[in-house]
Amino acid sequence: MLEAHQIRKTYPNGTVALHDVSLNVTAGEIVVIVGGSGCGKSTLLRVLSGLERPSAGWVSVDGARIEEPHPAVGMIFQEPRLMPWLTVRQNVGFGLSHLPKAERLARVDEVLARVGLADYGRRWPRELSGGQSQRVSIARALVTQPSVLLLDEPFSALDAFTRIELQDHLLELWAGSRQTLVLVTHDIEEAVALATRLVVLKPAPGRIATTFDVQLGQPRSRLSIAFGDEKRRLLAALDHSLSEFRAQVSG
Amino acid sequence: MGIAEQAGFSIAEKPGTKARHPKRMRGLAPIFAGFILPITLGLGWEIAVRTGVADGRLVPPPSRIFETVVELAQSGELLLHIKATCLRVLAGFSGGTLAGTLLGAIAGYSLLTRRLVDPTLQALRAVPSIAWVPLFILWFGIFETSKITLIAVGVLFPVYLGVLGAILSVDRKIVEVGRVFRLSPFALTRRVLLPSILPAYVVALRGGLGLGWMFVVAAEFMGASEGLGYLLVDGQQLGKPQQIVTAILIFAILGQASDWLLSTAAAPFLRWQDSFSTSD
Ligand SMILES: Nc1ncnc2c1ncn2[C@@H]1O[C@H](COP(=O)(O)OP(=O)(O)OP(=O)(O)O)[C@@H](O)[C@H]1O
Ligand SMILES: [Mg+2]
Repeated sequence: MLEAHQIRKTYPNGTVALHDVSLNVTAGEIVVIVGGSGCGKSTLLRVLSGLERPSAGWVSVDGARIEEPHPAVGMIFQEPRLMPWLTVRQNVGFGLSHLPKAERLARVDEVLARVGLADYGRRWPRELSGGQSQRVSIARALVTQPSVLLLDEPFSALDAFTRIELQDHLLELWAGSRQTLVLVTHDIEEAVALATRLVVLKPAPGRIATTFDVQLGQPRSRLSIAFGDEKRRLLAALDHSLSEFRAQVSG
Repeated sequence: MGIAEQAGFSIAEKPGTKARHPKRMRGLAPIFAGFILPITLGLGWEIAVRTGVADGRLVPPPSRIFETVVELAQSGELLLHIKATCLRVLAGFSGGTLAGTLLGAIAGYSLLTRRLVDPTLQALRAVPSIAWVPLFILWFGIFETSKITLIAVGVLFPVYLGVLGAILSVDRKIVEVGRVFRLSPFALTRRVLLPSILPAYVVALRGGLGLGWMFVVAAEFMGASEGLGYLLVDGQQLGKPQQIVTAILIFAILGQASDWLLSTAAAPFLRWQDSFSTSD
């Protein structure tokens, strides 16, 4: 579905953000990328989305290499990034301008109802709370029905309750559509709650430390013992990659 | 079932109190308050002159100014002068806006042009525009062309700076959203860049318009046979302070009115803004 092959990314200032990262995402997976701050998670997602060109390696969607954003790949950013001059409804319909108005409105209203904001279509972005704005941005990405959705720490700016609510909601949406999701987070709990596969990155330069499947079915109870076990497994993997990094720095 | 739902949180929401933005209430009292001072002063001066406490020769009382307005209006002169001045401002403002917008847009889009053009424009901006007057008179003569050019030059710089600054400060993050949706360069300009520079552009235009009114006076001082600036000069030479005050008042009214017109025309496009109101 979505494949990254030996991606390297060196920024113009010399920072090596990614070094030989390969990732193969199959349809219907929820791949969650975790790693410490600055280890290249956002860079990887931006390369996958086609917003950023890799210095070496390539990205392909359904076998076709991409150089720029692909219609089958949607992106949800860390911030809502709504256009302040468009109403909620117009924001959600932003990527649908090629459709006739009636169809566009129908799809927008349907997706707004799905994210629980059916009555908010006429509002301006400034009239929304942070969580509502982020839901609008999720709706904007969902409405074009991309087969792959990339999410860069989509819930990190939200309070714990809203975060859990939106995570559950994302899973609900996923259960219905079985889109492929690639999500970046640094929240262990979020990673274990969502992932079918976890990818742990390690820093300087950003590489894949380890990858493992999450052995839990959906829905997951965050309070169960098995959930706790997976959390510990992930923590251990993160810890390992970090201690390796520290040894490398001090040695 | 997720924790959020267990805890009684639900995802579907109804708008809180009002779905629409409530109309901002503007009480009339603050507006009236603003009139108290000028009216009191005017009345006070009127009484002082009528009672002979002051002679009012150099500072005419409101009634004399009113008489002058009526006289000038009845002879058709007033309209003639207003029209001449307004046309100059309109022509100069249009020319300056056009040039400033084009230059600002080109410099904003292309780094190369910006490096080539911006330093020169910044240097020229440092010249007080009135200093151009002698040169413009030499080049374009003392008639309309030199006047309109002077006004246009005054308008050009704030518009240029406003457009350039607005383009440079367009939020890269929002542009990226446009890229994710694969907008063509043209669509990106129309749907993302233009709306996001519009607020700053309107501010720049209003600044430019204000300068346009300033420079029309300077231009008409250069020697004009009609226009409000001519009324000023004429009033001074013939010792008619009431005519000077009349022209000043009309300038104030026209400046306010044109600014109001501009911001009212822009208001429908800026409804989304938190801070926008036509009164500031
Ligand atoms: N535009 C850029 N130019 C130069 N260096 C950059 C740029 N963007 C990121 N970097 C560097 O590349 C590395 C990876 O950055 P990236 O944003 O991908 O990290 P991240 O894993 O997303 O971190 P966080 O969890 O804090 O968001 C960092 O060392 C960062 O300083
Ligand atoms: Mg990041």
